[in-house]
This record gives sequence, C-alpha cells and structure tokens, in this order.
Amino acid sequence: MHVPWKALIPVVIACALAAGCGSNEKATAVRPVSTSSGSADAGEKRIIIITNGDSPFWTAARVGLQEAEKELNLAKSGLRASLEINNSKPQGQIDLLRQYATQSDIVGIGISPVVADNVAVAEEMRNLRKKGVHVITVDSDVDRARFRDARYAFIGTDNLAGGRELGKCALGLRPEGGQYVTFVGHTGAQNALDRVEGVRQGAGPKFKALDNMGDETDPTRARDNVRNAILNHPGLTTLVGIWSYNAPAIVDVVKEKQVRKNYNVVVFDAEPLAIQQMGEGYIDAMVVQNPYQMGYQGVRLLKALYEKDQATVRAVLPNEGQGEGDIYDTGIKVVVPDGGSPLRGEMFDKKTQFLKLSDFREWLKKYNLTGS
Amino acid sequence: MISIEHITKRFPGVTALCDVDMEIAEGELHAVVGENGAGKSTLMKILSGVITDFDGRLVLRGQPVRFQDTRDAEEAGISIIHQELNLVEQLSAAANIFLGREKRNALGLLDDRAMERSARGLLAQLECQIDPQQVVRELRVGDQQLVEIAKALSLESGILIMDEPTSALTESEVARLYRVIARLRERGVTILYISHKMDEVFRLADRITVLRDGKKVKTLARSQTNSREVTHLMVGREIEAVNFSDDRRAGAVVLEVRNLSLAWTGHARGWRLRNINFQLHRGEILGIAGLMGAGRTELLECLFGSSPETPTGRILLEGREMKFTHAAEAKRAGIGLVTEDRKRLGLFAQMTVEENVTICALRDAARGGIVRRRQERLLADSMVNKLAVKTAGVDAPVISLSGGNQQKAIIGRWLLTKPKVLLLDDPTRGVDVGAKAELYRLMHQLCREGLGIILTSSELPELLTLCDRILVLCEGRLTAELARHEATEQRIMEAATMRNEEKSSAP
Amino acid sequence: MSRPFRRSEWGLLLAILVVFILTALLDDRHIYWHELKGLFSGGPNPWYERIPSGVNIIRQTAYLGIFAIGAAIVIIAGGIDLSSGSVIAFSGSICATFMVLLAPEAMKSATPVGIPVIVLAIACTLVIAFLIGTFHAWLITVVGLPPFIATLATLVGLRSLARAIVETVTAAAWGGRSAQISMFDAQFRYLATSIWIPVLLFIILAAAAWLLLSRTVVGRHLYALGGNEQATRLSGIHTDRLKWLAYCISALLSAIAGILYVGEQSGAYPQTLGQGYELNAIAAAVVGGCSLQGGIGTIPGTVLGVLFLRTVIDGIAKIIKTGADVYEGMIVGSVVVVAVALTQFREASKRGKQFFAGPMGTLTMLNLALLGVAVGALAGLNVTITVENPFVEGAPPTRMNVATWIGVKLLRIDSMQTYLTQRFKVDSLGCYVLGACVGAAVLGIVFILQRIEKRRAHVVTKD
Repeated sequence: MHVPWKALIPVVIACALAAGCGSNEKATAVRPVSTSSGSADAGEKRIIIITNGDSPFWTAARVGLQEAEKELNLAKSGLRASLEINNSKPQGQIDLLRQYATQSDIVGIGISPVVADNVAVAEEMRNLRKKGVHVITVDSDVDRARFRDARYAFIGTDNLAGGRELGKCALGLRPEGGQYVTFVGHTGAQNALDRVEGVRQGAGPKFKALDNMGDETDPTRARDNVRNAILNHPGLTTLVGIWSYNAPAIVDVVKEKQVRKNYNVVVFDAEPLAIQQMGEGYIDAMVVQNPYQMGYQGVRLLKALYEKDQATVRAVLPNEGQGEGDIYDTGIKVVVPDGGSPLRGEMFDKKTQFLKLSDFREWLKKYNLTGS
Repeated sequence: MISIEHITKRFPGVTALCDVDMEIAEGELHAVVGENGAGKSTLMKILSGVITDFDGRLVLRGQPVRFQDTRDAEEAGISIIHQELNLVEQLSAAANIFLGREKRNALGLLDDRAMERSARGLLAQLECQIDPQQVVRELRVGDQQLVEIAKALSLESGILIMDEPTSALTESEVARLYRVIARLRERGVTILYISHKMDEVFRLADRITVLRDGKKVKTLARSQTNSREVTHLMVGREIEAVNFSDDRRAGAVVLEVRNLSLAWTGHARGWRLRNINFQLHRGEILGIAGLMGAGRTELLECLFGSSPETPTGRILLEGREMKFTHAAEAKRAGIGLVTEDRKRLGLFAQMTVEENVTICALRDAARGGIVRRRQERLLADSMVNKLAVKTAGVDAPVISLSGGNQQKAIIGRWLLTKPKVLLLDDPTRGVDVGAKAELYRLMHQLCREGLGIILTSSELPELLTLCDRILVLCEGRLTAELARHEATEQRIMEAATMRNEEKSSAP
Repeated sequence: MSRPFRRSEWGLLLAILVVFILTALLDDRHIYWHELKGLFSGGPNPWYERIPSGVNIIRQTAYLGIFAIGAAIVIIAGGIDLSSGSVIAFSGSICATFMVLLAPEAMKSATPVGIPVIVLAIACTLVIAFLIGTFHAWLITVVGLPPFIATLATLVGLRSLARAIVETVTAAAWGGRSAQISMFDAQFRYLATSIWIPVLLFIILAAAAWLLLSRTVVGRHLYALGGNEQATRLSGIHTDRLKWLAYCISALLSAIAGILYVGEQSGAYPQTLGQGYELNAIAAAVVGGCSLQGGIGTIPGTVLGVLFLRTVIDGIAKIIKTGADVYEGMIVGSVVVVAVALTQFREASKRGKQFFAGPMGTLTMLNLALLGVAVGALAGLNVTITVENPFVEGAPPTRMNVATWIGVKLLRIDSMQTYLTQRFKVDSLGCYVLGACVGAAVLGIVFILQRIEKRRAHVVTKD
C-alpha cells in the first residue's frame, strides 16, 4: 500500500522531538527544568483547585497557588498543586469530581461551585470526603444551609460584605439615590446571590434595583446585557458589575455609546483591563477581592489538612468549631481613581482596605500580579 | 491506427478483460458488440483514460502510450460519449462544450461571447437547433447527446467512442445522428461504436468485433456476416425467434381508464395527458408507443398513483373506481409498476438480492410485524427460481447482478405482491439480447397466467413482437389504438407524430 | 446489514480494547490496573464502588447511548437530527418546569415532591417530545425543508424557548426569576444516580431498537428509505410515515436522556445542558458504522461507537491529569476522522488510489507533519509519561528524555499575561537549530517520497 508508512514518518519525527523536549509538570517558578533523574513522582500526591469557569480572575489565584507551592515547599512533602479550569457548567464540575474520585493520588480539592445549591456536586464532594480526600470551597461557597458538611471550610471573600461595600460605593457617588442594574455570570452562584443582596443592603433605600442580568460567562452576552439595560431603562443611573469580566463589558459598551457622563460604574474585581480602564477614567470604584490569597491559603490549608498539621489549620481557621469558624475571609479592598473621587475610606467598613489606584498598583507589583 | 495488445484488466473478484487484442483502422467505423458484462465498457474506459491501471499495451499511431488520466487521452485525440451523459445540468450548452477548456479574453476572464459563437458553429454542423445559452437540463435527451458530440468535436478528436448512442433517442433524432456520423466520417474521424442493436450495427459499421465474457471472440467485416451470426457469437447460442402469437387469449376487462387527464401547469400545451380512454384485459399485453415527451411514463404514473399531480378522470380496476393518492394504495389494490431507470428509482443498491425482491411483500413473510427469516428466504427463492435470475446467491449484493437479472429481480419483487395489473416502463432498456429474450418469454408466461400487462417501449420491433394491442400517444393525446394484426412501424410512427388531427379510428 | 456482527464491529471492539490497554499502560497511576485488582480481590465495599472508573464509563455510555440510538435511527433512515442536544435541554427543563408547576413549594424548599408528580411530569415531557418529533417530520415531509435545516432551526430555537419557559414559570411560581431550576428531589435523582436504572434503560432501548431495525418490516423499510428514498416510495411504502417514526423516536430518546441528565446534574440548566451533545451522538453513530448517506448502519455498531468514545474520553482524562478537556476535543475529533477514514482507506487503496499525489499531496504531508509537531510538542510539554514497573514494588520509574542527549534545556517562566498557557523559554540555541534541521529533513523526506510515488505510477506521457 502506498499510504500508511509514509504518513507515519513525519509524525514519528515530531513525537521524537516533542518527547525529547518534554519537561515534567512540577509547577515551579523560575527554575531550569531539565533532566530530573527519577524525581519524586512515584509517590507524588496532588492538590487541585477547580475553578467555576475561565476568567482572568483565576490567573491571580494561580499565582497564589504557585507561590504557596514554592514557599511552603510542597515538593519536599511530595505534593503538587495545580489549577483546573472548568467549562462553566455544573456538569463539568460533576465530571471532574467523579474523575478525581477514581484517582488515588489526589489528596486535596478546592472548588468554586458554579451553582450553589446543586445537589449532585455536593454529593460528589461528600463522596470524596468519605474517601479521605480533603475538600474545601474557594471563591464561592455551596449553599451553607444545606451542604455545609460537604466541605471542610470556605476560603474566599465574604461576598455579602463585599456587596455591601459596593452598594456603599454607589451611594457615595450619588447620595441622592438612583436606579441600578447588576450584571453577573451565573445568577445562581452563591457569590453572585450574596453580592447582589449585599449591594441592595449597602446602597440603601434610596436606590432601586431594576434588574439582575446573567450572561452565563459569555462575554458577548455580557455586553449585550449592558446594551439592553441602557436601552430599556431610561432612569438608570448606576451600572454594577458583579463578576470580574462584567467590568470590561460595561466599560466597552459605555465607551461605544459614549454615555460615560450618564452613569456611575462600580464593579467587582480588578482584571488587568479594568485597572487600565479605571486609569482612563471609565470606572468610578472597584471592590477588589484577593484571589491571590484564595489560591495561596487554599493550598496552605489543604496541605495542612493532608499532613495533619493542626497548628497551621488553626492559624488559617482560628475560630474553628464555632459559628462561622469554617470561613476564612480573604478580605476586600475598595479602589478608587487617584483624583476626583468623592469616596472616602471612612465610608466603609473597618476591615476593608481603601486604596487609590496608584497605591493599588504598587500592591499588585509587590505580589507580581497584573490583576486581582 | 489504434492497436490494443494483450490487454487484461482484473477487478477484485472478476476478470473484466482477458488478453484482448484488437486493431482499429484509421477512418473506419468499428462496432463493438457483446452482452452486458462482456467487457465493452471496460475496454472503452481503458481507451479513454478512465482506467489507467491494467496489463497490456495500447499503441496509438505506432507509438505505445500510457494515459495518466482522461486529459491525457483527450490530448491524444480520443473522446468518449458515454451512455450516461456527462454533462453539468445546471450549466448552458456552450459552457458544457468548453468545460475545462474555457476560452478567455485578453484580461484572463471568461469570454462567453467567443464560446457561444464557437458552440453555435459546432451545433450547426450537427443539425442541432438549440440555443447555446440554454441550460442543459431543459434540453431533450437527443439534444443533450449532440452537445456531448459537439464537445468531442471541439476537441478535434481523431477518435470518437460512442457508447450506446441511440438508446434514448427518438427515430428522427436517430436519423439525424446517422447523418452526423456520416459527416464525421467524411472528415476522417475514426469511430468506435458500441451498440446492442443489430440493425444499427449493420447499417453503420465497417467491421464488427464481438466480445464475450471479457475475451475477444472474432472480428468480422460487415459485408461478410449477418446479424444472426453476430448474435450467435455474442451469446454463444442460438436465440430462437420467439413466437408470441395467440397462445393466450384476452380475458375479462381488468382495468378501464375513462377520460384521464393530467394538467401541466406552466406549460404552453397545458396538458401532459388529455382525455385518455382505454381498456386492459386479463392475459393481454398492451403496449404504449410514442415519442419522448408524449406522456407514456406519466400515464403509468397516474395508474400507479405516483404522479406528483392528481389526474382527473376515472380509473376502474375490476369495475371498482380507484382514486390513488399514494403508490401504497395502488400496490394494495393490485397494481405494480416496474419503473424506468432501475438504478435511480428501482434498486436498493446497499441491499442483497433477497432484500430487494422481498421489499414490497415483506408483510407476507412477517408475523406481528417481525420478519420470519425462513419465510422471507422462501419467498425470495421462489421468485429467483421462477424467473431464473442468475445470481451467486440470494445473499449476493444486488449490484453484482447484470442489468437483465436486476430487471428480473424487480419484476419478481412486484410479482410477489400478486398484482392484477403489471405496468412496465421501458423494461428492456440497457438489457442485452439474451436477457431480453428471457424477459419477453417471462411476460408471455405471466400473461398466460392471467396477468394484464401494460408496457411502454421506444423500440418498435419490440412492441410489435410482444403486444396484443398498441396504444399510441402523441403529445398527451391518444392518437391510435392498433391491434396486433394491423400494427406496423409505419402506422405507429404516423400516429406518434400526428398533429392536431382526430384520433384515427380503430376497430 | 441484518447480520449480527460485521467485521467492522469486531474491529471496533478491538479498538476499544486497544484504547483501554493504552490507557492502562500510559497512565502512571495505573488506575485501571488497580481497579481491576480491587474488583477481583474483594473487600468490604460493594463491587461497583471498587471500579469507579468503570462505573463512570458505563454510566456515561448509558446516557450518551440512549440518544445516540435515536441519532443512528434517523441517520439510517437517510436524515439527520442536529437538535438532540437542544431537545435534551428542552425536555429536561420542561420536566423540571412541570414539577415546579405541580409542586412549587416542594421544589423550592427541597422537600420530596412525591412519585405521582414525578410520573406525571415525565409523562408530559415525553408527550411534548413526541410533538417535537412530529414537528420535525412535518417540516421535513410537508413543508419540504432539508432535515439539516429543520433540525438546525430547533437546535437554535428550543434552547431559548426552554430558557424563556423556565424563567417565566419560576417567576410565576416562586416570585423570583431564575434561569435554572435546581432538582433536589432524591427520588427523581435516583432515576439517574443509581447506576443500574440508566444502564437497564439503555439496554432495553438498545435491544428494542435493534429488534426494530433488523427484524421487523418497519425496520427493513427504514433501511430502504435511507438507501433510496424514491425507490422506496415507488415500492408502495409510506415514506412520510417512516420519517415521522424516525424523528419521533429520536426526539423521545433525547427527551429520556434529558430527564436523566437533569437528575444527574440535579438541576435543569437550559442554557448549557447538552450543548454540543448532538455531535457526540452523531460521531458515535458514524464511528459505529452508520453512513451519513443513509441505509447503512447497525445498533450494535452504534453501541460500540458510544463505548469507544467514552473509553477514549476517560483515557484522555487519566493520561492528561489536569486540563484534560483542553485536549479532549482535538483527540476525539481526530479519533472520529481516523475511524471513519480507515474504512475509506481500505476501499480506496484496493483501487490503487494515491493519497499524496500532486501539490495538494505535498502540502498535506506538510500539514500532517506540522500537526504532528504541534501535538507532539504540546503533549511533550504538558504530559508526563513515566514508565513504571507495576509488578515490582518500589522499582524506580524510567523516563524517556532525549533532551539530555542533545543538550537541550527548557526554562519555564510563569507569566501573568495569559492564564491558560504558560510560556516557555528555550535557553539553548541548539533547540532552534535542531528545529530547523528537523523541519528541513521532514520537507526533504516528503519530497523524496513523493518522487518515488510518482515514479511508481509509471507516468510516461506520449511524445
């Protein structure tokens, strides 16, 4: 036959080349990864953080994860940490959890559930815990009323508080009150529910919530939602972004329609693009989470649980056993433009860090981040 | 001029050609005859570059040649007019003629005007009156064929291969083709002519080569032989002249058609069929003659309920009025139709012989909807045996059968439905002489058993041999009804070309 | 066609085994091996807890298989159904919606809704699926739309209709609009989460479909319809009714799958449920031997096709530990192409066809070479392949590392610029040179091979 052997040759060459240049998957920062003679793969255990979807928000978390790997010397304990990007569907997380349940080398999982009250995901988490795998939630928790026992702890932002700060931003910018629309990815995610409720509380009775628009993490839909909101609500005064990529979506549409003067833009999270846009004057206030810490503390906690390191566990969760003791608050910042903002630090909660944009940028550089 | 030396071509499972030697002299009209499966098409495909992988040698004008593809053959001066025309239906005649060799103007764009002019000239040489810009799909088959010949002419081929050129032509178009061939020969074109029809072969050919089962049997000069000898060489046995005289008697009326009309929306004529009246008796073969477009196939479709538009008028089967909206109803009532173009409309190419034969009557072999294998096998075997279908077994794929046997299988399919009336639309098209005789015998036998048959055909001799009565259609009207003793080719042709005259009276 | 196991199905069975073994070997955790050991060695857990991978594969095969059968039936009948995924989303959402309508408080507060509600909701959903199938058949047979267009319309339309219905009903019943309905009811979920119900359902439906296609008159008529529609009509068979049957079966099976998926995911998410699933079903049918022209294909083949696809996907997840879904699409796509092409290959090479002739052939070889390099590089950079000796405890693993021999080293720099890729910097000039040499070598080999092929074809033109 003319065919098969000829087609194989280029493929064989390619594979030889590729296999030769193959590295191993040890997530290290800047370290030559050349030959490792029989590294510790043989008994290597893994810690995995599963995201809800794909967004720049998780890049910061990944940096935290990798810093934790380095600083806490996971390699010495025979551990590896990695980030698994989910496809924004609950089914995706169910499949991942099931797949991990079959793999005996996984010892810790952190997950940001797409939907808070999804029974199937909670069951898989419980299943994993029964097998001895340590499970925590990051960034977004499960429905605490029903599924608190499905995870050991929650590391992330107190989203209710964060929402409240965001609402206070809206109020601070427009004390006479107004109308707002919230834009979010999955309306059913716990962090989304908490933040929207928080905004309502923080903005107070003078503000009216017109709509809560979900886009299922589709950036195009996110923009369409903003356009429709502007079109449908002539009395709209404030545009509120709830998830990280909603910020650039709002700004893009505002730029496109050239209506910056008509609206206050307050957003959650600081994607690199959003930071730039605040610098250009398109965003009035950002409530910033700390995904870096989510990644970092997530790995730290899971490692501690695996090694039965009670001291570290108690350091992360000092109030363990009491009320909200299974929650680690990674803290929030409020960032405003360098000049001309009517917002003051006193308007906000004591725990919230109040920063101007340039100071925030300094902070980012310190941690080697481009966004948060 | 062309020398074919020791050509052998094997396909998986069958040897199509075995050590064939042939010589074709320059400027002659060399006829190649043989039954289906004798290897004629394979040989022509080798000559025209369609098949490139074979053993043996081709010598053209003294030089051995090896074609890589049809383009090479075209450049060597060989063109082939296939039996199934190779035209792009959506393009115009001119576009088809110059397909692949389009004329360009100075800017490199298509030069439609030049192509149209050339095409007009070529078509005029072929006595073809069509407009070169007309879309091929709208042309009659005869004109389409001339477009293909024009294409070959434009290539200035020295050698033309014609594969069954007259199978789809009307008598006048055939006459026109003969004239065209004569003109080509005057120009010195060498013609290889493949045909089943002895009268054509003996009218046109200089020499005749007979192929049988992939081997060359003999090459004869036309003047030194006759059709009987050639037929004998083709089949290897004598074909008895079949005598279909009044061995059978017509019985009661089984089908009656009154005032059948079928509208033709959007056409000048307005009607595909107009006021058709006739009767069919049991045990009778009724033939339907007419030119292309006269409405023969449409008439059969109306009787079978598969016509896209509903006809007006009355159809009575055994005295009961029938209104068919779907072929299924006709089948249930006892009418079967063996369509023309069995490849497109009749065969299930992916299925076996058994499955093809039993498809219409499967419920008879089934209990509670589930097919009983043994019953099905019995049914299939019964038909295969009764009709003497030559096959490697009922499990053989149906496409492995020759044309004649495929036709028999389809007839068998309808016989299993126990029909009262069997409609046959040009059943012997593409069927070789031996198989044709068998089909004639079969039809005769079926009539003896009480079936009523309506048969259309373009071959007048066939109609004259087989039919008890012949109806002639002309442009949708019934223009003549001739009984066997009064039917002649002349009278049929006259009736088929009658214009706006009253129907000739029939006894 | 009506024969039990054709040669290509044995081939598929073999392919499944090959994938299984490949996964078992390449997976440096040897999970399959351990699971098999666990299965036979016994233990306190019930047997299905000892083979979680096996259970996963079987469960996913059952879900996919149920509506892949529908896809196969439609394809065999000469049509195509692109709407399976959307029908899954729609029917799952409708079922949940019915439950909300019938028992709004229970659904909201996560208390059991009761079996009658479940049965009624499922029954209504199936009726609606039947109507969807009828709608397809009407569009195709009466209006005359090509099946591609008709089912494409429902692909797009049903999902948004589902969303609108869910949002409206949740607003009306619960007072707050929600784009999804969470399914807490344990009894409903049991339909899907108990492994045996979906598997049993799948087996029964597959057996019924097999019986229909291969043993009944209707089945024979369906094959005929797919093989030659005109001839079927002219054989006195009601082709319109057959198409109606085929599309209704497909819609009903997709609805059953939709109900199961909602139970499995414990929520009806009309926007995302089943997105892209129809292509998996069609791929499974095609790999299993169905021809998109119609008239060819079997149910056993389709079942094997589903099993094959799921085994491949599970294998990918096992071998590529993290980020497996990044590669899943590529690998499944190429596997499907190879599976179908192999059958074509065998036929075409019998006829002596050349595959790399002419300029397109050269470019194709280049194409394949580049693809190979890209895939190889990606795999090499992201996947660890360790060869362990599973038979001896504590034996050190051996790793293939040609890099040291050539003196090529790689640095890895994590960058914040992109969050999906990690950039690598090559710190040795040697690698560039090597790459160039290899590229030149590949091109050279391609060129030489092409000349050889040409010469073998005896191109001797006249003159």
